[in-house]
Amino acid sequence: MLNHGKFSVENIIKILFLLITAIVVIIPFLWMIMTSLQPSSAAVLQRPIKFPIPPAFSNYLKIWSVEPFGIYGINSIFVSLTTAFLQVVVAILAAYAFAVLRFPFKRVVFLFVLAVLMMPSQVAIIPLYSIMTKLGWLDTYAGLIIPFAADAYGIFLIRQSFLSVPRDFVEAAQIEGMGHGKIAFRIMPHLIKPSLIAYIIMAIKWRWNDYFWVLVMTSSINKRTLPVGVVMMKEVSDGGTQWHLLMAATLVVLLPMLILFLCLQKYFTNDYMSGAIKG
Amino acid sequence: MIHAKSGMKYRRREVLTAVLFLLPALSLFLVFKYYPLIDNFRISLTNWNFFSEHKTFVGLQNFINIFSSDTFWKILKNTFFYTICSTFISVVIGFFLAISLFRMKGRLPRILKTLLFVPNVTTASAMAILWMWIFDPDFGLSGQIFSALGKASPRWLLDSDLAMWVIISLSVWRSMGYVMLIYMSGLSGINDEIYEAARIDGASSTQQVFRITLPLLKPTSYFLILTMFIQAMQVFDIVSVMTGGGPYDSTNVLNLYIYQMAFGRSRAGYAAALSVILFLILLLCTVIQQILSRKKEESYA
Repeated sequence: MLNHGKFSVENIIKILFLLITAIVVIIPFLWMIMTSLQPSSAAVLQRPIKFPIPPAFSNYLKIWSVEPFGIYGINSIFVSLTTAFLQVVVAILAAYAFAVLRFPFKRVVFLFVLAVLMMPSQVAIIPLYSIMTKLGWLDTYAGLIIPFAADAYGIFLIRQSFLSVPRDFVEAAQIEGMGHGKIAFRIMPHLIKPSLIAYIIMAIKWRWNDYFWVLVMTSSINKRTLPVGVVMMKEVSDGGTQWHLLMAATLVVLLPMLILFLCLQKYFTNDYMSGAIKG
Repeated sequence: MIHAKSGMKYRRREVLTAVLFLLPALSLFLVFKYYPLIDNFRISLTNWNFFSEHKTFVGLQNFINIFSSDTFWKILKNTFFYTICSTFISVVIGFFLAISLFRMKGRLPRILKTLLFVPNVTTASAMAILWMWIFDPDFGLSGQIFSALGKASPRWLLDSDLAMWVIISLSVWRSMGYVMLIYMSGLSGINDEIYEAARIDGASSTQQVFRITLPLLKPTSYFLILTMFIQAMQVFDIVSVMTGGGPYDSTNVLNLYIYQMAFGRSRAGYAAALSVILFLILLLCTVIQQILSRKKEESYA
């Protein structure tokens, strides 16, 4: 396992450091799961706390009736998938124009897009809120999705990948009579698949984990997503927090991204992104 | 980018296609990025309260009020304290994780790499709830451990000296794996021969880390520190959930303060002025980042 196979002081320190960090990463999850399987509130509020035997898996069913988690879950899935889909379509269109097409003022227009990277929505939340009010988009799906449909980072990333595709591919497709739309959506995505998948996952993750925008722009249960819903569950029960149920709910919020990560790990951890980030 | 030669003309159809392809992105950016940003400057010069029809122009009064408010300076200090500590600690831990893992081969290091990155995909608001339960002084993990030791647990989130550190710990927990990953890809770019030469010259492995690895990873470090700094400056979720800025604003940060002013007290003009300040700080960081990355390109050229 080790480079030289020797157990020098240095290697022992390294391994100790790694193991301690790994334990620090794991303990919060274990504590969450352990709590989430406690049979009742009374069982949680004990010192020392007992190991939940038998584990109360029923907590994972109960949470759906305590808070409208079903609605939150559907909202989360719908909003993050739709936004990611739109982001990819809009980004492919723009990236194709920047990478393949020739048009005047390309450099200026590209700078116009890049500058957006410096404008997180948080620094203009007041005018954004009043725009949403005027559009009638407060507490609607449109308000959660459309403002995020264009993502400068995605345009930049996909443009980088498109630039790495040899021009011959585009020209060959054109000779075969394909239009730019067809080339952009039928040919190019296949040629940059790994970075495209990596971007899609990242886009889903961003929207799934978002708290701020949803908190500001929604006011009813019907449009809230899980990250906000789980906090509401905590706040509603103020004073008598049902920690066993709350921890079950917390795990439900975290789980989809954890599963996505463990299944598609290489797209999270590979260097598809880093080149572009560092550029 | 090569400029079109004077003789060359753009094909009309191609230009039209480009306009069509760029239209969705550009119009969305115009409506949801550029216009709000400019409008924010305008609102910051008024005393608007969200409800009134017209906005009374008050000049720089909001900024004067902000700069003469003790709360603002306290919150600005907190924001920088949080930002600097969480960035610095994450980068240091992430760096040591990367060099510890980098040369190991086999299955265990790969599992560790995966495991250490897991916190990075967690939802901040949900993790903040878990963190509250871990640091709960009565029956949470902290309460359990301290009571097993026969002591009383500190009341972490109610203690103005400790609360910020609890928040920073969650931030570090979530980001150290990301730092590790970026450093590992930086490390794989370093030529092994450099180390070999150093070894022949009798450099110890500690010397190698500080004399070779760190200097060569300077561009990676700049990138990491500045992007993480910019992100941390905008922290909201974990502070809002865990302490709401309390106790007595000791953990309050700029973004949360903006939110409280705007949506808690309807002081839209004042909050917009605070947003302008936050934006200018972020802009300054980005400019520094741009200058540094340009330097990096020049040194490679």
